Amino acid sequence: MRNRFTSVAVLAAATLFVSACAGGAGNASEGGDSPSAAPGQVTGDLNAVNTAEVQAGGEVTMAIEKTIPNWNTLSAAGDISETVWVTSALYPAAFVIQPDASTIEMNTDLLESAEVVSQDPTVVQYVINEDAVWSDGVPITGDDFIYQWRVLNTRDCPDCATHDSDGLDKVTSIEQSEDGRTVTVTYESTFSEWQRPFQRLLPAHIAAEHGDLYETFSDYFVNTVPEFSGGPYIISDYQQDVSVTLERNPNWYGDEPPLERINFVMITDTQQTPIAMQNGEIDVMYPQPQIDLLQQVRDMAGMGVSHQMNQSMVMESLMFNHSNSFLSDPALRRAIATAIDTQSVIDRTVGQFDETVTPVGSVMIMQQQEGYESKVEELGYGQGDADAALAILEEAGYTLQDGALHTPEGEAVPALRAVYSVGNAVRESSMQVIQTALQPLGISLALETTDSLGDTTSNNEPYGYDLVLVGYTGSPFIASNAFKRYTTGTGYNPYYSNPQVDELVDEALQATSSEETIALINEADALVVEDLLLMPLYQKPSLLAYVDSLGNIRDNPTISGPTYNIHEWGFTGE
Amino acid sequence: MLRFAIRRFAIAAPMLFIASFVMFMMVAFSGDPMSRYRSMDPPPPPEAIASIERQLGLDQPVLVRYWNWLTGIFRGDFGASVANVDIGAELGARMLVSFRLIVLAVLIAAVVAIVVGVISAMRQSGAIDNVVSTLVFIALALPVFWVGVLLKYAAIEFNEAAGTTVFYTVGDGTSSGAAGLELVGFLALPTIVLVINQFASWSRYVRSSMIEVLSADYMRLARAKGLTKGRAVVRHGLRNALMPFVTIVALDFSALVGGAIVSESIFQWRGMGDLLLNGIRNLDVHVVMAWLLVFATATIVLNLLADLVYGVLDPRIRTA
Repeated sequence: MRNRFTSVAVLAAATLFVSACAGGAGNASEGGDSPSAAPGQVTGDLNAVNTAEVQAGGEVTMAIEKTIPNWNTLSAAGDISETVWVTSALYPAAFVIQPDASTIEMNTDLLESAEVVSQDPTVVQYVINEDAVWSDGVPITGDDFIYQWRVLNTRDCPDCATHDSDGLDKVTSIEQSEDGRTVTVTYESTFSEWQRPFQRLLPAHIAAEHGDLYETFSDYFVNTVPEFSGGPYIISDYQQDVSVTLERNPNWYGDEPPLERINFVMITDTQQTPIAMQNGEIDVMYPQPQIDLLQQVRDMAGMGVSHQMNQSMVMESLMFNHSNSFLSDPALRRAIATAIDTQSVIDRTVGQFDETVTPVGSVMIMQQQEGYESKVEELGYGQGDADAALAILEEAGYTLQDGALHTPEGEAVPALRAVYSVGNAVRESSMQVIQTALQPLGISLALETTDSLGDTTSNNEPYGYDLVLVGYTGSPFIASNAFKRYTTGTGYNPYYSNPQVDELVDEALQATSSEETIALINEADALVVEDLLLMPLYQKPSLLAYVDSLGNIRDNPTISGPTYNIHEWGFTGE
Repeated sequence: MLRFAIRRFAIAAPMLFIASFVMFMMVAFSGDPMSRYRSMDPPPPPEAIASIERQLGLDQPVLVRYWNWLTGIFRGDFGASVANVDIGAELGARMLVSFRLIVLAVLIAAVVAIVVGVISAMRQSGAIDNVVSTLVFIALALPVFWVGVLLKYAAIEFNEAAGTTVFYTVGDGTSSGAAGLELVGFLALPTIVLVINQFASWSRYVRSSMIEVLSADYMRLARAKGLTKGRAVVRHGLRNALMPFVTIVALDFSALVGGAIVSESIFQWRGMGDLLLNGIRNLDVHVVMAWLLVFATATIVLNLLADLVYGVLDPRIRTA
């Protein structure tokens, strides 16, 4: 009897663990894998993915990977993607960036019109809808525009730690009509990207009750859970570090949003998100795609979960330190870029789960954006052509001695410090491919990791680098983005300067049409690519998974994120 | 006894001070807390970064920062957080979450350990002892994070079979207003993970202690007086066998906290473990120090209590 009991106990224990192990396998994914379009892969119009007729009612739970320590998304510390996604339903924007990262649509709920009424200098007139009010019934007026201008223009509140000026530092005055509904914004000169400012409006009348510009910007709007809303939803419940619940804003002035309630659950360990989805605890997740995670999502296809994969706006690239005495020689940089096979880098990394990823050839305009042109082919970069690379070096006077590269002056090129983020397996693999590609040139790489790419790229002391793998994020506002990243004395580039680039970007900022902006930026882009401040590699894919029955949800790879149209989400009833 | 207690306190206080200094320096020198701002893409203006540095006091020398933190503690000020955490408020809320998990797990693990340990001891080298010992060793060898993930998948299978969500894989339930059986669905898995981690080692203590007691003269006397084996164990053996076990539980507090950190991370409980991990991730020295202060104090106090209990039970220790 005793032996039978022990046998049963052992069997039961074994069964528990076997069943638990088997649980992870899930169901098989639907559809066949084709090289051009794997299941869930979006290759067409990003703006129209999953468009559906939806019904009123229902509740959705979306997982976000970060907590919300700061509610002011205009501040440097609060400008976190997850916070932006949650608050996009509360803080109204003048313009909404669409998923294709090129189309910028006026927020027709907030504005009746927004027009450039004159150029040189640019004067923009906004007419606010007469129904547009904050959730407490106070009208949205020019005061709210003026508040944003004053906190971001770096003059009225120099101590406000802003995420960016959003172009408002170029505004010289804002005037409004008596009723506050017509707002006239005057720039100091022609400003082509006038649709960029007024992305996240905050209520000026509430700010006025809580102190001066600095106090409200750095304290009140940072630490106070918003009880106001100028958007379709309002926060009905907030559990610190756990969840945020939005419900319909009773004073919303647009069409009633279909969903009754939206919960954002904070799951900071990304490994746990797909399990929670499999268990039905969440309906939407937007993680960084990795091969195992994507497989988990694909396995859920038979369980009522769809997914969308498309290009993100994040470009992986290899950055050259121009202050390094060896890398300051353009010939050496060109040889390195020529020897690297970008396709091999892709094949060894993201290509394993997304066969649509291709080498990117521009640093200022992303592949999915209007005006994208690759500049790397004609320069021969990223082709993995070791012979051509050796020819460049030979022509410049370099020699190979005992397998090591020597400069025209006879100095051996030391091992270059090649840095990537610690724990980033994708970047580690990329660096290994690059390391192998450079061996025939007699160039060795000393691979190093860093836990702070920001420090690595902005300071040479105490971290330092020669080559570093970084992710650069594109923007629909290509001229402003180029200005911040590639012009003299900006961004991460303390040692790069090209007066021609500065001039072209400056002209692009003052262009009077988008065609002109694109043309100028492409010219500047060609120079930066040729100079090899960065060697562009590829754009990372992004992944959005959601329950089948949820309509109108789609990825927006810009900072707006998938919640850019949260007021359109709803259940299809199927 | 009083002199003994004072002596122990006198040793504990400087220990806490030294631990705080070492930890502060370790965290302060392990990286740049502003790196998260410098890594932002696109980067905020340099003036914004400088302004945040000033607000957080990071422009001060590290010794000045330590002194400010230390003196602030006595005013109830835990310092500014890089991630804008209200440290005092967070400590209170999160301690409740963590201690609920730890206390529940300790109680269950202790009961299971006693039952398993006693049964093993009474059936020493028999089939049950062998099977239980094997299972206990397996439990000892299982990494906490792996058990956690495994249990999650088992829960999904169970929920699918039941046709409803009985077990939840994220959250502690209190914030979502869960009560009654639903709350049990949130509590069950993390508690089981921690129990598996802890009962195994404790049951071995109980087993060996019980084996020693079973062969004691007073146990033979109890049996000779006519008590059944079970009664003799319950009335005389158990009490003596469990005395060292009580102090083991106190001394294992830090191991329990380690298990709770992993368990909280897997099940996304916003407890002290999550606070520590975020503090380390953000190089948020004041958050890490507040955490250390709480747990160093708790560990020292519990060790002190264990010493005092030893002192009460064994006068030789007091006079040593």
